[in-house]
Amino acid sequence: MAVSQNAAIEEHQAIAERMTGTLDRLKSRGGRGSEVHFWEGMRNYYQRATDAAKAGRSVLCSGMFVPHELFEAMDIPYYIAENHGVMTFQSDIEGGIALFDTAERAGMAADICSPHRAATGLALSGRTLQPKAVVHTTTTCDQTIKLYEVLADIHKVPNFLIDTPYGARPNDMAYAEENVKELIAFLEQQFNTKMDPARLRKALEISHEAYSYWEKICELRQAVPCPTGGREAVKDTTILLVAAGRQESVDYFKARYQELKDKVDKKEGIIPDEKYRLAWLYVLPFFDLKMADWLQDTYGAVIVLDTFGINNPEITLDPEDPIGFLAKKPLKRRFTYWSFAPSKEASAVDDLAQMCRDFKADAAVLLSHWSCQQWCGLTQMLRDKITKDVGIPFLTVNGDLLDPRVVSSEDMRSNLGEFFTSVMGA
Amino acid sequence: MTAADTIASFRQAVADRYQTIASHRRPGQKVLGWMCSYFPEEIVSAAGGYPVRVLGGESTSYSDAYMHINMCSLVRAVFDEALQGKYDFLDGFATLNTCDNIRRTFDVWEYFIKTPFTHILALPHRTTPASIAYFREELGELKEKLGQAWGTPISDDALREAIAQYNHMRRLLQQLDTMRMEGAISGGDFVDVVLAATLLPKDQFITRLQELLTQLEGTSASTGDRYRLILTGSEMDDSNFVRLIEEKDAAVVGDDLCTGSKYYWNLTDEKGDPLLALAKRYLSRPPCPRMHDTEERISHVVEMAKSHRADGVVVEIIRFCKLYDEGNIALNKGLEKAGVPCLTLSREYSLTGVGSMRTRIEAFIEGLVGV
Repeated sequence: MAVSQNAAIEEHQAIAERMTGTLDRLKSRGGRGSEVHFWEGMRNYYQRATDAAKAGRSVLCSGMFVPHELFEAMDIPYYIAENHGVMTFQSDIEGGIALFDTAERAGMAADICSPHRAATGLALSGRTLQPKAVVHTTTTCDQTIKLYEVLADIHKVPNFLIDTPYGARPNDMAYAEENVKELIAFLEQQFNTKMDPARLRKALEISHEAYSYWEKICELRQAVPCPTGGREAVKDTTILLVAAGRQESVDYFKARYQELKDKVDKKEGIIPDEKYRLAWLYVLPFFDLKMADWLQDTYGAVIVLDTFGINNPEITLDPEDPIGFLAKKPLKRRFTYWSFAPSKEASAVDDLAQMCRDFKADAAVLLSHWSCQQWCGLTQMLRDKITKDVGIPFLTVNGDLLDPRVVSSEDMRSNLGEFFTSVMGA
Repeated sequence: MTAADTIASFRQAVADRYQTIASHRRPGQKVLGWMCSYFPEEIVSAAGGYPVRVLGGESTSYSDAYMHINMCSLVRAVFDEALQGKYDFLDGFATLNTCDNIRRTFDVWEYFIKTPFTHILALPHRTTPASIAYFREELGELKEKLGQAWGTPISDDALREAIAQYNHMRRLLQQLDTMRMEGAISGGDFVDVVLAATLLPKDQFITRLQELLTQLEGTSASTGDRYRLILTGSEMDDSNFVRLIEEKDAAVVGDDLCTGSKYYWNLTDEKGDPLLALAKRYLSRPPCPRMHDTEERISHVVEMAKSHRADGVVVEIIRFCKLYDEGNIALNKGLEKAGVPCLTLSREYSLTGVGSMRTRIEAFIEGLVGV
């Protein structure tokens, strides 16, 4: 089943080259600065890992919510298995479904999260770079923990789990810090390198600057009309994963902030006639990101708030406490905190209700991703709070992040369309 | 009384659990419902309370309106009972962040049911000196909060007394486990006994269990020609499921279940800091796939299969129990490597699809003939 590592390297090189092509086209057409910086960040991320593998250097397979700045500080090229699965799937849906089959043949249940099945299918097919080790966190869900254990087993390499505690009280954070220290020791041993405190500090400062811009962008999304939509906001999250602690992330956010600020100053929205402002209480289906465009074009509905693309201003950097920052980040990132922590402590329901008010949402939509229990388990609490306290309509759309066979785009759009015509009066 | 009568009394206690709890509760005694066998009942007992395991019923028709159907049917069945008011008698409800299903059940329980005392413990995923110290603090917080809420501060002596009582109970269950391995008690009956341990007051359970052990002593039973199986997987509180497996030529001689051997596998140190001893005991019991140490879990099941002279292992997984689902890949590989045949059954919490399940079990057992 497995193909040689050379094939994986060639596939990664081809991805990096496709991104270079995208970049060239954008530049030649005078594309937006943020777009250019985004694709630079993406291309460089793939190229770094590919170059390392070509040169026989060790690469790391990482989870999404690991503090990646640490890898930058230790000069460890990494790739995020879930993201790679999503991106591969987006570029070839038919081939992506074959990846699910591969994972399921190896014993992975069809109910397991689709990005995880895609990542597993890629690893089993020898289409991911052979890592030296796997690092992951307990955030955001059970399946994430097990996915990276499965990947470590496929690649036959050690894995380290950051045991992110279930809460953010002082004793929780002390335990989280212990875990970060253990992670550093693990990486030093596996990659035969030493963590450079000065380099870590630099990476964290860059990261902090990027997060500060992200916070400002989140504030701009509250403007009426909204200068950006849910589809564009996916890039905000993605760049923080692939270019954490790197200048590309700051360049991207700086440019994006300025672009959005110019629009807000001119009272320009992402569409000329914003009729409805939507709070999207999950992630857009990755296999149909154009659903956001369709909502805009068909109903004048703009996703002004989405749980994946919202910063948490509590992730601040104390330059004297880099370990504290690294410990806090996996937990306090908004999406993970709401998903992972006790709902009362994380104020998941209260915060989202307040955000619906702050972002002046006219309706809230929860995408019930077929395998996502931490959000689906909150369905009735969210409905109760948002309809009663905020006083806006609430819709649950059944679907899946990657697998179009669970609920098709057409069915999801039909569900949304009925909601707009019958409830919103469109 | 015969052993059959005593076993029947345990089965009855489980079947009529609400009546069992009501009739055994002392006047004024607080009752706390718990989910997940990582929960340290000893702390509730030390507070003078009555800890009972929260179980589900047959229906999920109410809870389906509150929880998406992609939540496992165990938690939907449990929450359904709560929505029907069957757990209104509870003075407390507590659990741990064991899995996404349970922690969200805690969230909706806290939001919609309004039990007077609620608490969720953070259970580390790893067993290290740091995680044991962290879990000890978690247990300390539960001890303090429960003591405050019930107006009965929990002393270290009370905790030690509870630990000693639970150790005694666990030793007796270990004896019964050995008898099951020898065929003196069936796997189905064994499930009822262990479940009764989580529903009856411990002193009364211990008395009855001692009677059963005496009644079974010297029983010249054996599993004979039947195929010897180990059962592992999701929360299993339905003895009829085990009886279904044992219907034809099979005996469940051991288990790695949270409603079975995980409940009594190891004991708590009775010396020193009782909270630290409890933290160590719970974090070092045989792990479920929720814990990070996959290798330990696999070697535990493989070792059990060997020590119990098992012909095969049955893995039962409640649909949408993602931890067992994903953890099963490694377990299957481990069992295959050890040459232990394995059958995986996907099921719902309530026993449904009996016909097809029976066919699969029979086919598995027939397949063992040539092994």
